[in-house]
Amino acid sequence: MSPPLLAVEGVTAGYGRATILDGIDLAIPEGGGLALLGRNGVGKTTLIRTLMGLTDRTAGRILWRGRDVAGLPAAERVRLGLGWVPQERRIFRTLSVQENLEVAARPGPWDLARVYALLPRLAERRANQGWQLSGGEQQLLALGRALMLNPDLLLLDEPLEGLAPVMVDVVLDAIRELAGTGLALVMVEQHAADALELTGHAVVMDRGRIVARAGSAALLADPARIVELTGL
Amino acid sequence: MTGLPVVVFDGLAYGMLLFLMSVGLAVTLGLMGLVNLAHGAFAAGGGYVAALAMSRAGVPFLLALPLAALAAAVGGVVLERLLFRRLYGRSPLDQVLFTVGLVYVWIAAATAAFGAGQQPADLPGFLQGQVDLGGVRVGLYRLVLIGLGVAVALALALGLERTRIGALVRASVEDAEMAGGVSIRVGRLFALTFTLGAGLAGLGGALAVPVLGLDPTFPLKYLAYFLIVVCMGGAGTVTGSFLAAAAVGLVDVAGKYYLPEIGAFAVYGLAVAALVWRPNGVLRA
Ligand SMILES: Nc1ncnc2c1ncn2[C@@H]1O[C@H](COP(=O)(O)OP(=O)(O)O)[C@@H](O)[C@H]1O
Ligand SMILES: [Mg+2]
Repeated sequence: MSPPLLAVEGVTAGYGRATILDGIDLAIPEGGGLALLGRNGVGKTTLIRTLMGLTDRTAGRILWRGRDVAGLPAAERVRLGLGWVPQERRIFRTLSVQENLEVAARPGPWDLARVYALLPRLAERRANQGWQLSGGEQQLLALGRALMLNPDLLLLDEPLEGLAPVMVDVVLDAIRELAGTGLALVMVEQHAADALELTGHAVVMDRGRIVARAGSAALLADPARIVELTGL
Repeated sequence: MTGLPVVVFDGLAYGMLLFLMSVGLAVTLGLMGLVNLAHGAFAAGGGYVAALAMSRAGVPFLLALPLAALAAAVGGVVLERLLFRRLYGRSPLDQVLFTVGLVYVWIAAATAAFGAGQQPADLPGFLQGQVDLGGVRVGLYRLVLIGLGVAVALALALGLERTRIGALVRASVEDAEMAGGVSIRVGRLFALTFTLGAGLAGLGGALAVPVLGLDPTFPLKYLAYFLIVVCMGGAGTVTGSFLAAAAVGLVDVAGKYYLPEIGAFAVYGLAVAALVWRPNGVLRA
């Protein structure tokens, strides 16, 4: 049996001496989808950043298709197939929309034309500087930029946070289309239903640990259980 | 006021030398937050390569210039891999102490190797003399320096604005962590720009020898000027460094010409005024 796309084994990590994550175990198969749920401050972003190699890891292994990548810097992990849409979006404000996409370009089916076709709003704004975009447009750009990397696994950290309702639909439609192409994804979301609808499995975090695991469909059908697990 | 055109051309020419010698520092400060007080040693190194190549090996001036740039660039890439990259992410105090130490190492080494005195460097005949610009007589070499400075600034600005590698550098200057997150190998990019900056400093140092003279203390003597250019211009910007260097050159020369007693302080007044007006650099409102 081939190893999972991504496996996290007993990972403990944090920032400097502050340990945030405690013994995290996860596995994501090729093309799989995982919803990462939990209240504010439980460590969801820290887990995403740990997958990217942007925290201080003190124990555990992170395996990419069976290969330990825990020692690799972010740029090398991305080159292996990780794509990151950070919670703060972090688009390059001093670069144009098109440059934001171009600096991330890696070989594969996703290129400028295809990103513009999926997210036409970006095509309209291609000559604008990053700082000129609305919050929703920045989110689209962060998503398009990650696609330019031609990732095998997309890490989406609260991609709907703070968006106007029309923009939520645009972003959700795009993510739905991506999930349909067999792209694996990890989606952090406060609105559990949106993430559950797009994924096969879910984990719930609390205080740096995974406290529950469930099938997304089963959880979606049982709103009372979502409230009980996440307190939301 | 007959001296005004001369002062302007002298000041601009001096400013262009400062630009060449400090632009690398501005870019590396912006890119990796490295406060490299030893950057002037690359300029001095280039100056020595040019001066010695000319005086000892009879190399012509125009060949000595690229030689100086190349030597400084090679020195830059070697020292970046061996020493400087260990400083990224360290505290500014660590960086300052370490790189000031390097300046003194340079001074001691250069003194031991080449002596404490000034290096001779005469301009070749075809660069001496004056040209007539619409009734104003201007030193030919000053004019060449200004032309070169403008050409380098344009090339750098275009490279930064219009090329893919320029966009990668700008992205990394703005947010190095996110740049890594979109697959940019920031460390390699930094080694490359560090090397380019060292090479330009070497070129500037070689060009400066006939104008400013050269002895082992050069990196220390001009350190304050480099820092003023970088602070005024703003970290990470080529255009800002260019404008700041031109202003510093003009004010320094004009101050010393018109107010000989206190003119040496004019440039510090300019620096204070500029930092009060635009603390993050002249281009950042
Ligand atoms: N850069 C940081 N340095 C130190 N602690 C941090 C940092 N970022 C987040 N934390 C702490 O880590 C914990 C988890 O935060 P985070 O991963 O952002 O949670 P979530 O994404 O689930 O809201 C919080 O207690 C937060 O205060
Ligand atoms: Mg978060």
